[in-house]
Amino acid sequence: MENKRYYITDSPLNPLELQQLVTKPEAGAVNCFIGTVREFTKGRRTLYLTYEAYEKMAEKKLAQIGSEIQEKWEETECAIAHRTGRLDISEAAVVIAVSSPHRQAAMEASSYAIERIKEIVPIWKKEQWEDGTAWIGDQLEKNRYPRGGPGKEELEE
Amino acid sequence: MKILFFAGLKDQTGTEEVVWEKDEATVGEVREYVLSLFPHAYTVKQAMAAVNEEFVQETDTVHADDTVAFLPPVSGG
Repeated sequence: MENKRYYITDSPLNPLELQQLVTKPEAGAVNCFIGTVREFTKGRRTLYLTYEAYEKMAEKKLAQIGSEIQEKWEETECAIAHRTGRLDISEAAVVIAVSSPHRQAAMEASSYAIERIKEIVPIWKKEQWEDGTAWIGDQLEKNRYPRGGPGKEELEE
Repeated sequence: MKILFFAGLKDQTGTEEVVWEKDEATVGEVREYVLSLFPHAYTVKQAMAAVNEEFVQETDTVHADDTVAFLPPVSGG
């Protein structure tokens, strides 16, 4: 895992490690985004999350996001890691580190990366609530099926 | 060809992988095959498809030694 810039792991993430991967003398800024497990969503209490990934493809897609960033923002360096398995409240699910000569690019690119992760990286989270459990999907509501999910007739088929 | 399922879709099929002895099929045909095997796996209808870890279109061809994955809407981050 050392020196790998785009990876999926079931071990706790270390933001400092990713930050160090992107730091270089030419950089004037390193932006590190940490996505963590939130306890309450719309009043409903989460006990923990379970993340599953299509690991091989997910790592490819994280690397693709890195390439997109380097095309859009010159002289940036990027590293992204995503956790799988059971995560408790406040644990880091994803860490994105971007360095750039000036701060604006690093901040914009980090924001771009997390949005792209939610679009193209095959990772899924399962919510464990006090009263139930469910796989979560389509957070961006960009499902290519207009109804956004199975309709009544599909469920009955 | 190898067919992979993940997350909620894996729960619906009850397995993470099936093998289809078939020389060639479109992605759409693979999707129909999955539904014929697992009629209650409705998530396959809204799943994105990938062949050998790249997203594909419904009319793309899958070959015998390919790996097809059906990906429910993702929720990483």
